[in-house]
Amino acid sequence: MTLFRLRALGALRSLTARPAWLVVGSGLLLGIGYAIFRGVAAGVRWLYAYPLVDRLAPTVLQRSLEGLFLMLMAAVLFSVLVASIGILYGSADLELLLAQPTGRARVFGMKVVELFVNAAGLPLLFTLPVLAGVGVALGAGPLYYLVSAVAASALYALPVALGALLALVLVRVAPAGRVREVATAASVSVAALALLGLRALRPEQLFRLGDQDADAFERFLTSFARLDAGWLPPAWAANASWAALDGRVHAGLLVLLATGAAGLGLAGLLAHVAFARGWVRSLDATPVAAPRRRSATPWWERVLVARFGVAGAIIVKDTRVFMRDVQQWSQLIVLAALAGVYFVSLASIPVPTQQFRDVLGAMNIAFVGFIVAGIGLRVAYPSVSFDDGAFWLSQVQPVRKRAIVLAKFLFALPLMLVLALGLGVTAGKVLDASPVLAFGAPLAAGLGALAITALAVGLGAANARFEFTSPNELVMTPGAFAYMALALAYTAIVTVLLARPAWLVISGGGTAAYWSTAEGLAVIAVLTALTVGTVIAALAFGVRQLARTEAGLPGG
Amino acid sequence: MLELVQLTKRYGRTAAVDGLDLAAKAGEVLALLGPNGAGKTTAIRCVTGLIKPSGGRILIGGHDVEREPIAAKTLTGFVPDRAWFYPKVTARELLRYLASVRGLSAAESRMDALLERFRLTRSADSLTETFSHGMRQRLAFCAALIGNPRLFIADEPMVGLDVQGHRDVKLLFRELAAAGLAVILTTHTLAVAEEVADRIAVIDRGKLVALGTLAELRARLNRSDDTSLEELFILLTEPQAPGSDEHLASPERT
Repeated sequence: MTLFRLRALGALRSLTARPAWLVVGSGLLLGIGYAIFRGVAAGVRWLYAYPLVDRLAPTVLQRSLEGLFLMLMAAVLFSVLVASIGILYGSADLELLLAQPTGRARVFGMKVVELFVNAAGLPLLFTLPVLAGVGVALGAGPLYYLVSAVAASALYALPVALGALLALVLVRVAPAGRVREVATAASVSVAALALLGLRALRPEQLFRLGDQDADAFERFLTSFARLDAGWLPPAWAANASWAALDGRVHAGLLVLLATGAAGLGLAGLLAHVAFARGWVRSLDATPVAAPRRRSATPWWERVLVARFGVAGAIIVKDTRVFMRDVQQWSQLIVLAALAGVYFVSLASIPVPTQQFRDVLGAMNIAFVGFIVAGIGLRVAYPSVSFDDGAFWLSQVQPVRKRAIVLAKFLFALPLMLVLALGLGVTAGKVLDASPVLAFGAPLAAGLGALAITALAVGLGAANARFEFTSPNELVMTPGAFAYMALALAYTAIVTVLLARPAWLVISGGGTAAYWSTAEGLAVIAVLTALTVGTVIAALAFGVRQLARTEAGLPGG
Repeated sequence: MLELVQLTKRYGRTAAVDGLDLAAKAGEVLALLGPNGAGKTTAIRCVTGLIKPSGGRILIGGHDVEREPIAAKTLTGFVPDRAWFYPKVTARELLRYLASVRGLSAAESRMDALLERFRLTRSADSLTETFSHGMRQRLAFCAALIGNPRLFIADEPMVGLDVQGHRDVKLLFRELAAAGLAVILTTHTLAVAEEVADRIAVIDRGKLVALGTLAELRARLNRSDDTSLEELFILLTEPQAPGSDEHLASPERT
């Protein structure tokens, strides 16, 4: 227990180190949680009151819970696979922990708990208000709240156990010499394949809507209610929660708990045999002293330094580190997988009419913003903190904080722009959206990439942490929550600003000439002003806060 | 070259550095000594811009570190006690990066000379994550010197160096001072301070306790010429019973 207590105390101290940010981040999280709770409660009441579907409502709701559990379990699995090697084998505190007279399985257990908090913490925080909303709307008793919370936790523990097992195996089988790099790359690739594989099943084919059917909605709900996936763990969790509404304990809960315990038990057993050896193996092999070929300063380095000065030199250094650090470049695999999932999803949605295509085109503007914000959290937000223990070098050199923040922004921007514009343009083509949206979506995506990258870099600089046991910790901080909230708020404002042209198109009134009318130009001007303002404010805030940072030397 | 005027650094109610007045001239080696927690490293981190002072002024070559940090840092080279670098960058790439941020063109020959001087030529194109502590420390010297500083600061520079490294560094300090640089070092290895320092500053509990040459410190404490620096240091810094000794009660410079 001492290990857990120490780790929990460390996490608590790091959370409370900046009380203002903790208050802001917690406030935003609580606000989002409350909005989810109220929204779900209202939605459930509406569903039960809807005349056509009242008899179907309980089943539809149960299936919706299953769908939510499935989606979030997939998200947890994805996060676990991406983070497992870093947390289980790359944490800086392992050297100290494994040197103590304590069981290796116990150390491994603590790291698995850390993995659970990192990967399943946020999904669980979003699940609980949903379950509470359902419970309040249906007047559930205390048993429901207890069972549903336990079922959700046990459900999300399954992918954590799976990820831990995979990490144990990968580190043992990865080729000597580059164990951690290969294991991390393999793990991230498995995550990307799992995500693409799940999506490639195209579950929406099971209940495809008819074209212009007046009873389509009811038939959709009927077919949705008939979907039975009782053999999947999300259904066990949903069934257990549902039975608890009537005061019953469903066998699904026991199966879920037994499976989770078996998975963690197996991982613990394997860890007893393989964890310490795997860790030693990864240590032995990580720093391979293979000299690189000496070369003259490459042309791209000369161009960047000549064009951007100090910021250019920082970009050159960051490019090298990015290309050589598997934890950083593997994010590109994640990015490609997410883009792939998005396009598969768009191509799978039945779009019978132009009107429907334009509705999706309008929604695409918001979706792209959400995706770019999520990628920004992994790619741009930690960019200043990635300097880690070497930040002292920047502190003692004649380098303005402005140059550091600008360099990080310019480094992350091309990646974010390519992603956002790619999604905006391609989605428009896939959907064959009307010209107004075919122009509006890439415009919003491009401007969104600028603003969201600046928010990520600015808030990441303002909340830079140069001592962390694993980079995954960085995205579970109050500053990261604040960034996500602001990025989503920006996306919401842009979506609202583009609602008018979208409505014109959907109602049949919009033409390609819209963007050259006074109204169209005004929308562009407001969007541009909002973006420029966000970029300047976010970066300036990051520069000011970074200048106040007293950190940089390990242990300093 | 360096002037500290009433430098103060507080952490809550605790003063890590408490009204420190100190100056280092061009061409001298000044050793900053003191027991653990005396405030040496804190003072040096204030000078190098790693942390911000709570009060007082720091002037480097006449430039105020707070108001003109770029000008002040351009004149400074710093070696920390535990140097850490970007792990996925080679030694040569690191030095090239530092030359770029300092706006130095044609730094390749200086880079090669520094790598040679600190016995890193064979490892120059290896990633720094493969370096031992001693190699990282030697690379820190290269990094500190790449920008032709006028003020050279080293915080516990001997930690992790081998015997040859010790000797090289001691020679380096004298060479740098001879070339007109102001050199400041903190160390717990009193023999090094005795050997290379022109003047010695003793700090205790954030305050300057004594400052002068070794001979001046001996004279101040009324000790003979064969009294070692270690004895003087203990006399200056050991906790005293109230009223038992007068030397701590008169911290004026020698």
